[in-house]
Amino acid sequence: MKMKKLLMVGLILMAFTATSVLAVEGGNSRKGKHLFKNNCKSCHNAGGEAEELNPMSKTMAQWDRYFKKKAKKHSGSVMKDLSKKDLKDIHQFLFDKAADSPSPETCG
Amino acid sequence: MNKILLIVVGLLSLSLTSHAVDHSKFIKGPFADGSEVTKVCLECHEDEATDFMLTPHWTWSRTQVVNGKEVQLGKINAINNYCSTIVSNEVHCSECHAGYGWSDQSFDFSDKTRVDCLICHDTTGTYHKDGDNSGWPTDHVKLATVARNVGMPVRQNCNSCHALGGGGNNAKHGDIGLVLDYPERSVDVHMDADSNDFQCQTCHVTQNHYISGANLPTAADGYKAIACTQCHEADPHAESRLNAHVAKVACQTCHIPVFAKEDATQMDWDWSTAGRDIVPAGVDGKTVRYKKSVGTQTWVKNVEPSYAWFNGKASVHLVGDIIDPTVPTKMAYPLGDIADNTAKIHPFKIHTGKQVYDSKNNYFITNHIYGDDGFWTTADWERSIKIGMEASGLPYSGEYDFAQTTMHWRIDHMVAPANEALGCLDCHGDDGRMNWEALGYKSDPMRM
Repeated sequence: MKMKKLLMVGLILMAFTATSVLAVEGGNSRKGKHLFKNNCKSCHNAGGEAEELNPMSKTMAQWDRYFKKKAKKHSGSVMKDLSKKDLKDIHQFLFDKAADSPSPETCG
Repeated sequence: MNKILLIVVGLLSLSLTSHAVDHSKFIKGPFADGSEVTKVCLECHEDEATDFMLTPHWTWSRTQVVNGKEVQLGKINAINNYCSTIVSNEVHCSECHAGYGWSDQSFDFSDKTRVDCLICHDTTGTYHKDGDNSGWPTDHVKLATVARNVGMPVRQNCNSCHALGGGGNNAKHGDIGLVLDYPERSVDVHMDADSNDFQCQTCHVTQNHYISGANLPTAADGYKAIACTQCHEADPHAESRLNAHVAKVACQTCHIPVFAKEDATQMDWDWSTAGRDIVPAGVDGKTVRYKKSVGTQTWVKNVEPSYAWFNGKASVHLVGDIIDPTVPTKMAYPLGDIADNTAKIHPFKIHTGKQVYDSKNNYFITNHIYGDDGFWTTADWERSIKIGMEASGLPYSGEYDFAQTTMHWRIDHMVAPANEALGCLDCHGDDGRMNWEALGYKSDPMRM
């Protein structure tokens, strides 16, 4: 039983470590907010042509996964038109204000 | 004419950008701390550091005439109705000092290696200082990356301090919030990130690191104040009736109908409720907020300014000035009246407060709020007052109470698109926003 508990603690710690390895860093979150509004919200708004999105729509890990794996598959050219730096800034904003972040934000 | 000026400003911005030097060629790192970065900056920019150290962004003080007397005044010794004074709270307040390691009154203001170049010149948006470390950057900042990417300041750099003073986004000024990082046209026509995109220094013209502009509470003499007429003509309207107003009405009065757009600003701070375990009545957690450590604060969005005559100079309450606790003390207010030919009607935010004062000596207390023994931690008025008064050298009688205060903040930013400027009836209508009697008129001058 004791061993099981230790294993659980170990697994949880590993999960946290894995998250922190993935976590985005070095982006300009405040600029990302502006870029998100200008480039994403035009479609991702209430009643818009795509699902409404704001930073709290996902957790930090979910935003990380999105930008690592799914962003490339986004329809249209918006993801290709944005520079790597711009995408990182948007990613940083969404991550920093995600649902499970220390300072979640609904706007954007 | 305005178009020509805009083109000149645009070309100037372009030429500044084109002269931006790629510092990644000269700077390698790693750096143990911010001061180690500064040492590398000084290898080429020693004169810039010397110039900078003469400016209020470093000294937090300047010789100026206040209330008829020549005094040293600046953030270093000013008293306001937010957190009152910085004395004994340096570890916290120096978060916004463009320097490293100002933890107490022994800080060496002659040490060039303590200048923080990065707070203004970071272009990565990742440089950050917290209010618990005497102005040193937080541990997560990658100093080498930031140092290799230095450049001309943008609004985000200035906002890192000027939008966050007083305990939160847009707390103090009312017209300077984080929304000005990348504002839309409806927030400010000049700074509109998708069009004019003026940076702060477009108007706050900077020479030898001295940034022009006169904040009312700390530049009571109006030194290096800036004006709309730096770019705009003195009579810019096509309509003569409007041009007839400019002798007595500041541009800002009509062109900034509201402040605190998007970000609420703090309008009242009542310290008298601080330290209690029971939340006072009327607190809703949104407009009226309560924390045991700070008391009750009122935050409001889209605020209509108050109006007063202003000749560019101000009167400021200084530490140790005697108060009459039965009436609100004006901590800073504009000078000028209806008879003053140099004064114009100008918009202001009037912040109100209730502050702790020595009820025998009748002056405000320089409270010790930060640190393990500060009020924010202990919620112990007696203890924190004694430490704060000892640090400032102001005698404490042993008795305290709370007195009302007001403080004027000039409103200059958040200039609305022209079609949103005030119209005739906004001031001269039946329910106009001007208090003509308070301004010295018998009634609405249009109806006299």
